[in-house]
Amino acid sequence: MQRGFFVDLNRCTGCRACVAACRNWKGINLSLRQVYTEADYYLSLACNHCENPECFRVCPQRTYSKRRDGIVLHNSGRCTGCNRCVRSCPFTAPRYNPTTGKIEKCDLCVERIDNGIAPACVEACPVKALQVLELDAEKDFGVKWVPGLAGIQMTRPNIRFNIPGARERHLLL
Amino acid sequence: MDRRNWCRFMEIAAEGGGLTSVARFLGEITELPVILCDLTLRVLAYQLPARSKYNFGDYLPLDLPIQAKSQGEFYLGRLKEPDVNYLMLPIGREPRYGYLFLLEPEKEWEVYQEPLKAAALAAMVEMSRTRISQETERRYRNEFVQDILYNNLPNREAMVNRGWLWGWDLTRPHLLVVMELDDRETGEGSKMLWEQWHQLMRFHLGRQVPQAILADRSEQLIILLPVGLDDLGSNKRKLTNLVNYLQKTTAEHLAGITFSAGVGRFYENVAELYRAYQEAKVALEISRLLCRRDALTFFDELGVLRLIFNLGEQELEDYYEPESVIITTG
Repeated sequence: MQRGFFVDLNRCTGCRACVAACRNWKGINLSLRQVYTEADYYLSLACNHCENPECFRVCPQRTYSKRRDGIVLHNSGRCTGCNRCVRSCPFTAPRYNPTTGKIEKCDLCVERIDNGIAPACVEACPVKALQVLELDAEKDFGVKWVPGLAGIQMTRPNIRFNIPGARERHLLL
Repeated sequence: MDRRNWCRFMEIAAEGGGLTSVARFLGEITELPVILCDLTLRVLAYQLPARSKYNFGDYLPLDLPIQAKSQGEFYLGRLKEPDVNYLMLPIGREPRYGYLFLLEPEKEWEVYQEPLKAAALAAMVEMSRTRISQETERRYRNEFVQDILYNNLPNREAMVNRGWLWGWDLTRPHLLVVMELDDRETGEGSKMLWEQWHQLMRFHLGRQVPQAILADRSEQLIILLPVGLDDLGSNKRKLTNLVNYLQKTTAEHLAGITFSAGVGRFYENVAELYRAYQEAKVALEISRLLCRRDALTFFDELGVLRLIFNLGEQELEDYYEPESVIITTG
């Protein structure tokens, strides 16, 4: 089984409620989720829990692991803050926390997931643009890459998008 | 066909008599040579009449995919060597388990339909039972190997102790190879091809290196090869020979299908295998980017390509454009 985010680019209004919810839940002053403004849509990205995570490969301290449900976890106990993972991740998922001197990364809110609750960002989204799905290689839903996302061939991120169709633009004033 | 014969086939299947009993009973009824094969045409069981002089070896001398004339659910064709006709019925539809062959059928082959159907059903019961236990073992094995390769176990001792339960000696260093078919298609045909390739690799790897560990994930095969510390220098050569042998076997049995492989660096400690796994996948992916087929790529031989693959598209484009202008104007 592989869990991953599904982002509906048709729905996202760029409100950044997901960013704020993540910060609140984690209790840190760092954005583990970012919302990027592209030409026709907003791209909300956190960690993509890749099949071939570069952070995993380059870490000298065996800090990263990947659960059977595909969630890539960071063990801060082993982390020395060397930043190799920060430089290697094409999606800028690991973030250096200057307060602790260690890396922070989206972990799909595992403590919530394990209790059957959606991650904080998913729950906070007012338009239901973010979901966590079980991505099965045999089922094709959404697309794996959209403009604005870094190349996916090497890392094979586990994220899917609903591509934006012809629609009206909604402005948040 | 007599109803009693149908019942007898079902009794053989219910008792767990095995494929050999199914083949034997079908041979008695039809008085013809009977061969049961898996998806790769490896002979699983056969029954030959006393007068018969056939000698097939491990595989039926037939190319995949099978080129035969369809007669409803049956197929009529001809073996290459020996040059005889056959009547074939696939075992199972979805999923398919293998094939059942009758050699030298008479011109009125319809008389063999009922016995073949009954035998195929009994064989399907046997093979599905075996497949269930194989799939269960495969799932648990894959999960344990995944735990090792994705750093899910707390320490080396935990890996070694759990490895002993599988009969694996994880105190020895292991080399890691990741293999993937070159033509990645989708659909039912590709699932069958992948299953055929998996069965082929499992059989031949088990023959060549019985202590090797084979797992699969995301349509890639992962091989962990135990090596000795005293012959480190020859590891690459042995590995190259093994992969070349497997590539040759794949092309022979699967009508020219090829696969490529990536190999991670050597680590003495099994707790570092997670690095070797990612490196092997990177090596494989870079060989794909270079449009190589039937290739074996070592991570530690990639050289500057390892640096380039990490660069972003914009940087690569910025580098490429001025250089291409120099080439065209130079």
